[in-house]
Amino acid sequence: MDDLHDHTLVSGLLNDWNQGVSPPVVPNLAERVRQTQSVRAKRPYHAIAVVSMLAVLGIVSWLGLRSLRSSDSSIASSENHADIVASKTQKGDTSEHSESMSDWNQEAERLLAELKSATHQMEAETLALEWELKIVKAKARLREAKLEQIRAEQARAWLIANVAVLSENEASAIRNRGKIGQP
Amino acid sequence: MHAPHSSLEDLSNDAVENDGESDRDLAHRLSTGSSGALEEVIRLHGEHLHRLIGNLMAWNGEVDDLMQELLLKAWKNASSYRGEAPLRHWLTQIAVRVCRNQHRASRRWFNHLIRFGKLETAKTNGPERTSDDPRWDATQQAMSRLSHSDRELLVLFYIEQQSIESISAQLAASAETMNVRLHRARQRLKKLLEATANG
Repeated sequence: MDDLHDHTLVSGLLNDWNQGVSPPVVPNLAERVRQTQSVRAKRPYHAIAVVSMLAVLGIVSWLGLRSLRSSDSSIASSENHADIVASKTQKGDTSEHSESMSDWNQEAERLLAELKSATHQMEAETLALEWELKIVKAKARLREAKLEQIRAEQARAWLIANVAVLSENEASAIRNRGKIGQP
Repeated sequence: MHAPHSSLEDLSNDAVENDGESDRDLAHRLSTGSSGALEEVIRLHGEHLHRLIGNLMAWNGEVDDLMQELLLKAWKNASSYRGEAPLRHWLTQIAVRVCRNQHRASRRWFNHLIRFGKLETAKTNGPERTSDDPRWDATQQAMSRLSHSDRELLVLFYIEQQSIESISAQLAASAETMNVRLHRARQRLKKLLEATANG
């Protein structure tokens, strides 16, 4: 019963509430709807423009931060170079590290060239020494050969001399034998 | 019981009465952007829709903007209207959805603004009064303080004269649930009216 009473009460109140107002007349409502539709149809272009502007702002900010980092590194250049390079490399800033690496690479190449040159010189000296040794050995062998020749000539002379002595002795013995056999 | 609607096309299936060929023709002209179609929709249904939106929002907020939003959605989805229900019903469903979406969005913004202390009270667009009955003010105040779901239910049932079955189909709930919710909404409105009357 109460519910029915409430139903009737609410129904009457809400109908009075609905009838108690008049919606305002909106002038040119259709035209406004068309304009809104037209604007919304262009929304993707607005979105693209906004995204592009944000991208440009992002790039400019990034470049600014990068230049700040560069100026920081130039201010600190009077300090120990190797320490700065190591520190910046740890922080992810490899720009100065790259420059140092380039210098160090050139120095290493120069030293390598010098080392190669020295190596070539040493190799040439070694070769010369080897040839010198060979010459010395050859001279020694020549000297031995001469000595051998001298010995051979001496032996031959001795033999010749001995043969002559023996021949004289033999002839003398023969002659003496004949004298002995004669009556 | 009706099955819940999945899209705006389904809403046109709830045929109670049908204005027939003229509604289909008007929707077709609207979908093709024909000259004068939008003006005719406004002429035939504008006042009812404006009043409905005002009631659903308790005449708070930008009712004119919501009316525009409703017409834009109707224009955009006019090709999906199949003419199986009167165009007035189809437009009513869109109005209910537009107001519900606006209520959710405004609640989010309102909470953000309150948090940052930039807004103390919501802007209220008062309707053009045609009655001097003091009970109107009490009802207006009570309806403003009701939750949007309660207000939506009361407006659809008592002012739009929709059946419980039709409302339950729109809100994807059973008729029994709707009856219970309607009873509770009535009780809450009654309490608010009593609180207003007591000062």
